[in-house]
Amino acid sequence: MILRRSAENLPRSVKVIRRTAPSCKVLHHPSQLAAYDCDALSFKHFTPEAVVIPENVDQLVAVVKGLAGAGIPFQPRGAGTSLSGGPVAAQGGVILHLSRFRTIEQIDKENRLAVVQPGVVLSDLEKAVKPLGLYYPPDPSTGPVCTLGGNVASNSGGVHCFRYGVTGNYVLGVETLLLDGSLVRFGGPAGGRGDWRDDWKRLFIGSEGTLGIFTRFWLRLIPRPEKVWTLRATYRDLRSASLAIQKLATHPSFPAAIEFMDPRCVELVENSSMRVGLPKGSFMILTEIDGPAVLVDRRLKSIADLLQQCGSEDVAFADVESERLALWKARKALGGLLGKITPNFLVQDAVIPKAVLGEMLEFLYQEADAAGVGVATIMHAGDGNLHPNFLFDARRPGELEKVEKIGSKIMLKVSELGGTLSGEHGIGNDKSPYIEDHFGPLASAMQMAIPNVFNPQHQLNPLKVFPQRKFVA
Amino acid sequence: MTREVLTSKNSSDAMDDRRHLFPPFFDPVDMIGLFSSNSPLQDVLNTAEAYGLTFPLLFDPAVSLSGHMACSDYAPASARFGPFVDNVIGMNWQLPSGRVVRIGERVVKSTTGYDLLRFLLHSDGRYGQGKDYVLRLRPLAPSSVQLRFDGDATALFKLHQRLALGAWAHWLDRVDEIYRAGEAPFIEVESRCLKGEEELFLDYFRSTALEAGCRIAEAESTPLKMPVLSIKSTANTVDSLALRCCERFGTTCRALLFNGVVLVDLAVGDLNAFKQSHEIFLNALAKEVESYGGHLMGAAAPQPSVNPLERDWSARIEKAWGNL
Repeated sequence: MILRRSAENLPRSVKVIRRTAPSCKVLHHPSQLAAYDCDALSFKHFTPEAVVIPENVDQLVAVVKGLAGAGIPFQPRGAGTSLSGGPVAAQGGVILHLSRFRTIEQIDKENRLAVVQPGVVLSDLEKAVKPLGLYYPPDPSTGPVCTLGGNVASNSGGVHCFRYGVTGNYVLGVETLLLDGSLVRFGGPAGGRGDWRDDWKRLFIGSEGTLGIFTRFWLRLIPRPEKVWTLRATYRDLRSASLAIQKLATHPSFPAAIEFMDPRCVELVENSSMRVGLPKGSFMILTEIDGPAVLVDRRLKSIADLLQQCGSEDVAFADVESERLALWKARKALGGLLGKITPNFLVQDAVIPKAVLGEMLEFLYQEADAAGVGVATIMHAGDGNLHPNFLFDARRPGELEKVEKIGSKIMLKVSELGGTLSGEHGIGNDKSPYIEDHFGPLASAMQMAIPNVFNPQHQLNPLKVFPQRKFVA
Repeated sequence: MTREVLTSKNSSDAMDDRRHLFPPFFDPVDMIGLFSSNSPLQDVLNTAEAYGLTFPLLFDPAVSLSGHMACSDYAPASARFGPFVDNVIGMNWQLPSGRVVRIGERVVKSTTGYDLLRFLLHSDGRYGQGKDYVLRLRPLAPSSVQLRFDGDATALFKLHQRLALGAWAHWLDRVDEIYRAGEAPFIEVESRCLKGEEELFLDYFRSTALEAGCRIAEAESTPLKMPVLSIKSTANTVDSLALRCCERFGTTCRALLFNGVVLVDLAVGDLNAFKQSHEIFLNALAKEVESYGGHLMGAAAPQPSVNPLERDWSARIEKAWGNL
C-alpha cells in the first residue's frame, strides 16, 4: 500500500509539476523513487525528489518549462543502464523518465533510415528492421533493455563497432527540447546540417543529457550481413594474443568484431557452471567476419590460419547460430557470472593504444593485487576499448574506496599512455573528476563553453561530465 | 607536421598547451597517424602505403586534407568508410587567438566530453582552423574490381536499389552515378578486395546487372575532380537531384548513391560567374534540401542563413573561445 502525503507535505517539485502538467504521471513516494536512485553503478545512490513520466511532447514541454522556471534541477533517463552515473539525480531534483516515448515512427527501407522516439528499446528497433533485411549495428550488451535515448546520449558502442562504428555514426538527426521549452531539430533524414550553419547535432550526440532532452531521432540503417563466421582462439601468452589482435585489426577482410578476455576472466568462467573448456591461464580472442556468404566462406580460412600462425592451438569456428553462440558463451556469460560470484562489480571503460595493452594489464594487476581486489579484464580489442571488471563488496568498510582509488589511478594511467577515459560508457559523475586533467586547461575551457551556451546554470543533469557543473538556483 | 613555436599569452600557458598537443607520430598498429592539414594527401598515401594502409577518402592526391574537407563532407569512398569527420579522430586546432589546442584523441573510439572535433571540422573556419589531423587509416586491399553499368533510368534505379540494399553493400568502395550534359547517365562501382576474390565480385555484379536490366562493362573510372558544390541529400532524392543539377549547370554531376550526396564539377568559366548566373536556383536548392536535413557546401554554395538563435549560440561560443 502506498501512503499518500497530504498536499502541503508534497515536495515543491511535485507541486510544480502538478500545476504545470496536471495530467502527467508523477512518482514521489520513497518506495517508488528507490527504483530511480542509481543506474547500473548500483552501489552509488542519488535519490531524486520526484520522477515524472510524461506521455507526450506537450507534457514534456510543460514539465520542463515548469521545472526550469521554478529553479529545480532535472535530468532525462531511459532504462537507467548507464555504467557511469549519467542518468542519476546527483543534485537531487526530478528525473524525467522517457519510457512512454517508445514509438518507432517510421522505417524507410528505400532511404535506409528509421525515425524513432528516445524511449524505444534498442532490441525492439533491431527486431523491427530485421525482417526488412536491415541492420542497426550499435550493440551494447544491454540491448534487450537499454533505450536509444541513452545510447545517443552516451554514444554507445558494442562488440561490432570496430568495423561498423558507434551510435554517433548512425545518427542522421536529433530533435531535442531545450531548457527554455523550445523544440529544435538538428539534421534530419538527410543527415546534414539542415537549416543551421553549424553542425550542432555533433555536440548533442554523447552530451549525456546535459544540453537538451531528446524527443526524436533519425537513424541510419544498413543492409543486414548475409552470413557470419565466429572464430575463437586461445593463447598461452599475451605477446601471441596481442599479435593476433594486431594482425586481425589490420587484415583487409575487415573483421566486424575482435574481442579479448584475459586469463583471470577465463579462469572465472572455467571455475563456474558456465565453463566451456578453455585452457586455464589462457588469453581468449574471439572474432567475427560477416558479409555475403560466398565472400566470408572464402575468407574464413585466411582468418583461421592467421589465428593459428599467431600461436593458437585450438582455433574453433562456426557459422551455425547455435554453434556461434556456444563460441560466444564464455564472453557473454561473464556479466551474469560476475553478478553471481561477487556482491558488487565495477566495469571500467577506457580506450588505450593497442600497443600498450601489456603495460596496461600489468598495471591493472599490480594495483588490484596490492589492494586485494579481484579484477578480470575484457576488451573490444579492435578499438583498444578496455573493460576491467573490479570485484568487491560495497558493504565491507573501505572496499568501495579501494576500488575507486584504483579506478582513479587507471584513469591517470590511461591518459598518460595516450588513451581516453571512455570509449562507450560516457563520463557521468563517475569519471568527471578526471576529465580536466585529461583535457588540460585550454581544451577543458573550450569544453565547458558548450554547456554554458545551452544550459548555463547547469540545471539540466548537473554534476555530470565536468564536476564544476553544479546547479545554483 | 606542425612544429612551430606556439604563440601563447604567457609561458606557463604555452607549457600547458604543448603538454596536451599531439606530437608527430605514426602508429601502424592502431592504423592512425598525425598529418599536417596542409600536406597533400599524396604524402599521407605514401606514408600509409609503406605499412599496407591507405586513406581512402580522396578526390585529388595533390590537394590537402583541409582542401578536401572544405569542398565536401563526403568523397566517393564514403560509401564504405563514411564522411571525412568519421576518419579524423583528433587534431591540433588553432584558435583565432593563435593558440593551438589538442582536440579529440589518438584512439579510434571515444565518448569523453563534448564532440568538439566533428563540430569544429564542420565549422568552415569560424572558430579557427585545423593545423594537424590524426587520421584513421584502413588496410589497403591488394586488388580491386571496377565496373560501369549502363541502362535506362528505370534499370539504373533498380540497380541502385539492389546495390544499396544487398549484402554486398558493405564491400563496395564506390557507387557513383555520373551525369554529363547531353549523355545518358551511368553507374560506376569499385570494390577493393583480396587477391583471388575478383571473380566473386564480378559474379555478383553480373547477376545484379541482369536482374536490374543493365549492361555491364569493365571500365576505367571517370576522373575525380575537386567539386565546387556538394549537396547533402537523401538516398531516394540523390539521382533526380543530380539530373536536375546536370541539366541546370550543364556540367558533370556525380551522385554518391549510398551517401545521398551530389558533387558538381565546374567544367569551364569562373566561379563567380557560375554563382551569379545560378544564384536563384542555388538559393532555392539550399532551402529545399535544408527542409529535410541536408545542406549545400563548397566554393559555389550560397552563404548559409543564420537564424537569431544560432547567431546567439555562435556568438557566445566565439566569445568564450576568443578569450582563451
